[in-house]
Amino acid sequence: MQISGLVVEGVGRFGLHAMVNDIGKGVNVLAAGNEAGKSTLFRALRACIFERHTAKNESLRALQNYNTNLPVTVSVSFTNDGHAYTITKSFLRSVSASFVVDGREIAKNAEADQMLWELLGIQPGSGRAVDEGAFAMLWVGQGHSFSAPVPTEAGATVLGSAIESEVGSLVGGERARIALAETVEELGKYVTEKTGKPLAEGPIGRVQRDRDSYRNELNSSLERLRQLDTQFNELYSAQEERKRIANPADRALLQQNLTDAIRELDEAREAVGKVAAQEADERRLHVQLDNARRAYDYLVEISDHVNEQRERESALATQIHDIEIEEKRLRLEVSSLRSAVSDLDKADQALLQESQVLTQLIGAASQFKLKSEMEHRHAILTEIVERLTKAEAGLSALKITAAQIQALEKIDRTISLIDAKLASSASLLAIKLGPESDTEITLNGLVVNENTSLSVTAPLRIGIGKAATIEVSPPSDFGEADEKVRAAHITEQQRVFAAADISTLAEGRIALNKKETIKASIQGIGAELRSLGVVAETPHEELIRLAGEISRIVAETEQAISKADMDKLPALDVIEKRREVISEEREKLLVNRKKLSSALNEVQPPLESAVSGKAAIEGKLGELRRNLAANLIVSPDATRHADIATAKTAMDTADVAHQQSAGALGDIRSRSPNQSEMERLTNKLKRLEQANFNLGESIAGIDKKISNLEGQIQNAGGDGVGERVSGLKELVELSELDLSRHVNRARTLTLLKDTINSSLNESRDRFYTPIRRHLQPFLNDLFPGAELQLGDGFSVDGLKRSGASEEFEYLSEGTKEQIAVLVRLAMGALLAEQGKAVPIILDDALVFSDDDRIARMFDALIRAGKHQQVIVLTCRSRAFTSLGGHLLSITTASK
Amino acid sequence: MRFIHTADWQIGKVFKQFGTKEAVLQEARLVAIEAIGRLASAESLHHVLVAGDVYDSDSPSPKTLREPIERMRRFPKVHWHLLPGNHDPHRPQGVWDRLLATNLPSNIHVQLAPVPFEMEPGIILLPCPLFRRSEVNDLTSWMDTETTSIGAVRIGLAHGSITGFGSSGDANNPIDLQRPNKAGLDYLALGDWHRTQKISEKVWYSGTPEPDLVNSQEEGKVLVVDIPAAGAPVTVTERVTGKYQWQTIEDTLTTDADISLLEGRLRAFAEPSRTIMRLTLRGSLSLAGHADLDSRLAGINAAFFSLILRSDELASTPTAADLEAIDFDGVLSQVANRLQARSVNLSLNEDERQIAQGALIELYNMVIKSSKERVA
Repeated sequence: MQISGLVVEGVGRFGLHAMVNDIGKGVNVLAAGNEAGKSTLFRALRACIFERHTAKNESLRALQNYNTNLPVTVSVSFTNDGHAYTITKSFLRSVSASFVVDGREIAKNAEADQMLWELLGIQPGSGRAVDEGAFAMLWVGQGHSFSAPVPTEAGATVLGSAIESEVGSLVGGERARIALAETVEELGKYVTEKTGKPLAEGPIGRVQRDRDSYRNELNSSLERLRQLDTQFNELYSAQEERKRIANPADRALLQQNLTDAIRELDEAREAVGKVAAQEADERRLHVQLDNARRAYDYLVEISDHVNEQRERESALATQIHDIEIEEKRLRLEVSSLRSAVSDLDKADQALLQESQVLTQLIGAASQFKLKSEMEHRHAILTEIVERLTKAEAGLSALKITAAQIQALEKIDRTISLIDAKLASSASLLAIKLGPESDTEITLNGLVVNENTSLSVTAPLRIGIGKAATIEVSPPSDFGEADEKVRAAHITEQQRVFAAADISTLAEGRIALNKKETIKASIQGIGAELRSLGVVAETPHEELIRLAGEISRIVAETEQAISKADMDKLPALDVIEKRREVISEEREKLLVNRKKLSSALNEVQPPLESAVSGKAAIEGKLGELRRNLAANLIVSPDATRHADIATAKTAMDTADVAHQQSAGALGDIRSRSPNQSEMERLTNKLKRLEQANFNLGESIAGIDKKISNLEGQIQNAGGDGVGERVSGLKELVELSELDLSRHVNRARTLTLLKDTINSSLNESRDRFYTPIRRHLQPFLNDLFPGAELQLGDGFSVDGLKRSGASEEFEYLSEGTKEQIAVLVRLAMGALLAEQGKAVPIILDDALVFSDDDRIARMFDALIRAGKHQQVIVLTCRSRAFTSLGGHLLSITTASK
Repeated sequence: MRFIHTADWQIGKVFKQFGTKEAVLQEARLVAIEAIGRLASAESLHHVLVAGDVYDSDSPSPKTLREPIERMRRFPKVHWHLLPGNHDPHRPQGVWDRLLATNLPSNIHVQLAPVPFEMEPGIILLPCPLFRRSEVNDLTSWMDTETTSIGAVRIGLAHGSITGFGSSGDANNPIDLQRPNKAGLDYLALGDWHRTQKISEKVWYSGTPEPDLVNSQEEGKVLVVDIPAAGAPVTVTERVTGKYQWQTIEDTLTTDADISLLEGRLRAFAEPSRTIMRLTLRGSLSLAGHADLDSRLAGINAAFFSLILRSDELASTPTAADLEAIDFDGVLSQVANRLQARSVNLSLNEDERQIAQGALIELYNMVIKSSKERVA
């Protein structure tokens, strides 16, 4: 197919006819500015070929020209297999279709639609939409050149048939893809798509978890079972051990040995006890012997003492008699001296008492002299206190203060000023009396006797006898403000008067003067008191103190007189004279007493010596006599010799008995076990007792162990661990089998997937060979040495250049567009080679290509144009100038 | 003297491979006790000798411990003589002590020591309990020297493997084949082997009353033993007590016709719902044959109580028709050819070849399924 012309009417901005004529072979370029209508014409071309003429869809309505009421009419002329065709369709209004071949209309309306499609190999299908087939791949609308071509079903069929005519069919490709998808889906239940590792929640993951869980529990249960088994064995061993050590014969033998050892030790202890008894007897006889010996020795000793004591008694009695004579003499002399001293002391005591009385009298006389002075001072003070009291009473009665006087004077001045102000502003009332009148004229009730003038600051009542009363009042608002001030001052004045207890200012001034006078008087009294040595604040206390002193002096004087046994107080000089006499007499007495005391001191020592010497000798004599008496009681003179003989006999008898007992003791000792043997027997018994105890402990220990083991076994065995182990073993085995089954199925599916993939890729590579062959020259124009990787459904997967693959999606926009255009050129070339040429139309393509690339793309377009028609619509006239090709233009009706 | 000889009840045995049906098989083992009780009652047999392995484990759960006791309790006129075996040896504080602590009914006698037990006047039981799982000595030797009154019937009860008889149980507990002669026994009741087997006129393995293994006892049985008098010939009768049968079929499939024959064999079983079937298949089938086998086994599997299939050794040999069914000349055909080549590539190991074979079957089934869906 080769398009030769396009005419539109009522389309887009073209109200009337617009056309593009002379579209030729090879590359055609329609360069026009924006909104020139290129894309509209392109869409009209598509509509004319692919839309039913009766269609009324959005894309058709978008083609309408709203300035005219013309139907959308599109006419496309083309050649195919040497024939010239024109298809004309009117849409939306007055719909129609006409198909003309070589100048002759061969079909109209629906038949025209159908015949066109049949000619172009388009299968419209049962639906309203028409599959554009190869045209959809090669007619690229504005903005669609960046995507790689994705053939529609019909397009793929066209391409596929073109390819298959060269390389044969790709049989079963779709089935393989379905099988692959099913395999991948099934495999996806087991492993992840990316890593191929088992899914955590897939059958393998689940079984692995179950198996691990069973294994862990099995290991744990086996360990418990092993412990149980060990405990069983330990319990068996313990019971055997108990049987062994608790052997009755062994225990009986041990018990017999123990009994024997106890008996042997008891016998040994009995023998040792006999020795002890004999030892006690020997010790007892030995004591008896000692006692007999001591009794004899004692009697002999007593006899010696009695003789000696009698001799000393006689000597001491003689010494006592001589001392008693001397003592008697000295005692007489001392008595005489002591009597003389006593007399002197009595006389001195009498003089001393008299002297003390005289001293008291002197004191009383001195005090009595002060008494009159005190009484005089008391009288003066009493008079002053009376005056002071009176003055203070007067002062307290006067409440007025200088401040109050000053305040009153200030108020008085203020009131006077207000009055003067009122008076000056008030009406003046003048009363002039006539020369003679009987009528009594009064002003505010007071009789007016002379001419009077008065400011009317307040209502005034003028009485004219009984004839009339005239009331003159100031205006109602007269001096209202001043009156208020004045009233306030009057109130304050009254408050001060009341506080000062006065009624007038003058009275206040008088009272204040009086107050000052009293104060001066009080100050004078204070000076008087201070001159008397009395502090002004305590005159009353001083009065009380003086009265007390006077009373005390009177009492003491009377007491002294009474003690002196007198009627009255003698004169002081008389008393003093008597005191001197007494003093002289006492001095004489003192001299005499010293003499007597000296004599007495000389006699006292020999007397005391005699007394003490006699007492000492009497003590010795008494002691001697008590000892002698005691000895005589023990050994009276009458029986002494006989007693000594008896004691001698007893001593000899005891000696014999002791010697016999000691002999018997030696004999028993030689026959009883010694200490070493006793220790041996004791140790033997202890050893056997310990062995018996140890055996009991061992049995108890084993019993405890058995009890523990029994408890542990009962606990462990009771929960069915053995049963659980059996179950877990089977579960582990089953899960292992299950896991193996799942793993093998995953491996099976993986192998199947890989094999299908591998086969599918190989088939696809073979299938794409024709496209690659056509693509390679175009690709070399832009990307020398590069290789394009095609995927399923003619999709572009990536670009391989310089040995590296780049995914199509990640290429730059410019490169993607260039590749997409090149793929279309290759597809077009393939179809053209198969005699199914379809024009390639690019609307505003290659917008992102740089200068170098766009030049290379032009080379590629020119290469494509050698075998097929290429129509390039562009708004970039300058950029596409170097494309060359056949330049097209839009011709409108006006032109 | 007539009594029942049984053994290897193995109460509490687990059957996890049967999933939710495990409880059914466990219950069947208890039901077998009731069957024994009913048999004893019906035939006025007053003694049941259980020759070991009453329990599957020597540490069963409390419930498992009591379950057989409660079943036996229902037959108070029957005396049950229980013997510890290698699965439940008597150890201090073990399963038997636990059992004794449950206050057993008077008709249940646990034989825990090798001492004579007078079952009835003049009928002496000589039990040989196991005290550990594995004994290296013959524990029945004590019977040789154990004297009983003249004219008494001497019955041995033991659990282990008769030596010198070619086969052995799962524990090394030897029992001298000559023990009846050496010990003057009238009968030696044995347990351990899970199949009913006569060793000699006086020595029998009773087998288990309810089978529990494939390739072992197919049907659960007990023995009714009749000893007319001491030294008299013994009469032993096998009686069926089990509910489930454990069967094994091994078959070699080489043609599709073999599949039909196999199906016929399997469907010939009278009571498949009470049969545990282990089916081992060998040989080689086409892919279509595999699909056919799978389809038929799906139905058969539903008929049996359980069908345990082992087909590791059943290979697949794709035919031309198989491969065409996958794809005539397209991509999938290439896939099938490659998998087929891989499945017979001897440079690969067996596992890899089997995976390839599995992938080929997978592909075939997938394609066939899709085709059927398209047709449908």
